[in-house]
Amino acid sequence: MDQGRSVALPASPVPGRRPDANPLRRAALVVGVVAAGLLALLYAYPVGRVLIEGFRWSAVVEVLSDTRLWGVGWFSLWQAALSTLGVMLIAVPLAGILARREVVGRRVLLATIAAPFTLPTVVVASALRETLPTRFATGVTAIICAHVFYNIGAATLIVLPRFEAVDRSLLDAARTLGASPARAIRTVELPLVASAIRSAALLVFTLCFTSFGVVILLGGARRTTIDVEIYRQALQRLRLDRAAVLSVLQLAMLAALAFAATRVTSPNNSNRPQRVGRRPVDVRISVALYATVGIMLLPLGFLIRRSLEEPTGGVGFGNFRALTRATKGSGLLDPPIHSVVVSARTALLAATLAMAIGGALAIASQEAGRGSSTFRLIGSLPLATSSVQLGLGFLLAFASAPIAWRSRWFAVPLVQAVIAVPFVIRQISPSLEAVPRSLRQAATTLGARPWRAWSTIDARIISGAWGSAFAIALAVALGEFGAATFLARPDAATVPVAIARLSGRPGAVVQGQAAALSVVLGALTLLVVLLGRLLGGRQSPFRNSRS
Amino acid sequence: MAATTAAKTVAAPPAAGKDVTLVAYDSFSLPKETLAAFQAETGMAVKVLTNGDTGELLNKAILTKDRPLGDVLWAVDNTLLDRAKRADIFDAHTSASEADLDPALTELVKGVPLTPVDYGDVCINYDKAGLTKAGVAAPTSFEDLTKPEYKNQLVVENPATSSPGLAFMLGTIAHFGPTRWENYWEQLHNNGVKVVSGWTEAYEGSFTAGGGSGDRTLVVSYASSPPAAVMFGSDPNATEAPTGVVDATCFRVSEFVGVLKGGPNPEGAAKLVDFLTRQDVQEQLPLNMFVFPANTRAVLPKLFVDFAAKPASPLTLTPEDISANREHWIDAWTRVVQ
Repeated sequence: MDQGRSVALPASPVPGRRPDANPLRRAALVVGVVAAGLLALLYAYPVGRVLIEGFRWSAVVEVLSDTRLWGVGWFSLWQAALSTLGVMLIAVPLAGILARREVVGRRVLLATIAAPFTLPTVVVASALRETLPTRFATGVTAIICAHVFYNIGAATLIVLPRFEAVDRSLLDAARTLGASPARAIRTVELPLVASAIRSAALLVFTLCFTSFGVVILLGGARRTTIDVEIYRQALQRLRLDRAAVLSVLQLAMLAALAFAATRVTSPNNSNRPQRVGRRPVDVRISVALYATVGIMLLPLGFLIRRSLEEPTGGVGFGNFRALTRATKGSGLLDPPIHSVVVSARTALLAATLAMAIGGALAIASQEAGRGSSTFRLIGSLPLATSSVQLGLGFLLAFASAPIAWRSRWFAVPLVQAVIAVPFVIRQISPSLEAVPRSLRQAATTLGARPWRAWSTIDARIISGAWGSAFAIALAVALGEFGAATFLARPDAATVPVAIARLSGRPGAVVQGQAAALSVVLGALTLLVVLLGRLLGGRQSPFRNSRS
Repeated sequence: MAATTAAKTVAAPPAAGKDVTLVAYDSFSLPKETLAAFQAETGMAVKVLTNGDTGELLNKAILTKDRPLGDVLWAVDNTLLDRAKRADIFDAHTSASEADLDPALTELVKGVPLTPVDYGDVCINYDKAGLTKAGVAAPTSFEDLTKPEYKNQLVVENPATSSPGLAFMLGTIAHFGPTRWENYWEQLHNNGVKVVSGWTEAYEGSFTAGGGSGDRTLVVSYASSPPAAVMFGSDPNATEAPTGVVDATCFRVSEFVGVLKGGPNPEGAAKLVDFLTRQDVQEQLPLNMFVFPANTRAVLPKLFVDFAAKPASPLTLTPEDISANREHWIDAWTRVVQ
């Protein structure tokens, strides 16, 4: 970093100062430009097509004059607001307690809290459907419960480091001056953590606002968010123009939200953890926390229980065995287990491509050096659009020769790769920055060629991060639902698509299959995420300041 | 008859082991033996790919026309004719049984490369036992459904996502006219009509005489559902069907098959369309899919003769009328009901 700043001083680089820089840099830049080109084709072009289509005047007028569609927008907003409120009401106190008390098996507890956020949304929806009483199993209650269940972990782990960074002596001082504990928390602690709460709330709101899988599975015929309406207009009514207008409106709302966020969220101030010494374990609090987390995870228990209910009554693995049989009226041509094969193939391809693109962009960003983050920024662009919008973009963009890809089998891995790229970059970049340049320079001085120096020094050091990035890309692709809904061919449904089709149908056999398939997908995803954590060690996305 | 036809065709050298893929909506169903007969005659195996409801499947076929899902599509009905026509996804083929097909049906697809394959009426069905238990008589008209005794008794399919749902909505438009039908739906809405996304959910999931877990005694289904209710009921030899049909609510739906443009096996596709419209295969349709055959020479099974409702004058709208207004009607319906 210091080197980076010093560049402004000399007018021209000193020859020979970094003999390794030029050939490697050039290679990295070429690779980065190629990767950026691929993203331009697979991301910018489809999104551009949505934008062009979305500004067609006649369709815009048609959408804006439809009061029902205003209702859809309004519902998207208020359910997201309520969901966010629900998440924060639980996550903030949870983080506050976790920050000040020592808990038995803290890392396990934190990993458990984080687990639902790593699950595919269709699995979360299936779990909530099995948990809530039939009367509430579809509709707004179910949607909000699912959103809360899904997001609590993420929100807690975003807020926790800031709570941990609060200088305890400030609180002690307040108490000494006569403030009640509640008052001390309100006037001293909360203001210190407010910006973290705001960014967590913003993330949760965005995720709930663009929620697709949960709403399509739990919303019933009446509850519709913008993303679900995009799907209905596009695939059920073949009104791609209206779907595009809705996408543009949603993008505009998200942009406004992001803009508002930059105004309310102050930049991250000092985040150094204050806790140095370990405190004695608080047993009472531990028990209470484990009980709370246990209740939070109940839906998963209900899902597993449902998957073990035999269609004929009793307990057993009948539903899992039924996955190898095609059921008439299930909406699937092949036995449901076939979707696991399709998903495995699709996710491996998607993750590999995401690693290639994301890795190239991260390395190019690093080697371009000097504080340049252009490549990394390009790679995070896909975060700006929902997967439904990207699926729609693929439908619009890859419709005719020579790139008539929307009906090809590889459309799904392509779109999922694009969706996974930002996650790969976020995972790899910190490890690239952590490689000491001096090591590579030393190797070069000792006579290693630049490429050899890079492969023996940098590549080794970052290999763990690559492993975990691959795992995360896999998990993202395995659970991806929105884009696959648009692009999966009927004879090649991925697991989330298969779950959605099965659960929309009545009949004990089919419902049992849906539950069993949800358990399979959830277990597979958790396994992949766990492997990633083991490989990546400190680079886990759910890293908190202590672990 | 079937045997002689089969023997005749087998004499011709069958095309080398190529598959023909029939893409059909979820409730498509023909016995294995029937499909095996096609293979015996032509040397080509039929693969059946089912996916979603008529409307959604037709949309999929349109969106994937560069790489068709299969060879023959069974997913177009008279409410979707205009969309199929505009999308230009079919190759022309005249069925070998064209002369035997109901002229009222072939008239509908004049100049469109599609072949009529069956028809049926979408009507309100009621659960006789369920209504008796509730102590109310069966409804006899659209108007009856808004009466307090049928509060929370009706389940319908969403016309945006289901073809019987769309047909029923069109029936209300045909009956009440373009100005009064929305008002009728408002009354249905106030009377607790339940909306689900497809026929299976409605009939098997919500109808008391369906899958067993339902709580609605009235459902939008077919005039040919009572024979099915007998066939799958506790007593296949019953002299009375457990469900009844409200004749005055019936709307005519006709279905068509077409050869998908650019499919992998156009020759097999043509043969399959011939096969599907042939008398002996058409005679299989009633008891497997609960529709009426388009081939006028096909003989109806006894179960159909006994129990299927045959409304004297089912409601209908012209394809042109439907085409011009469908979107706008669905939007209006959604505004009123959801």
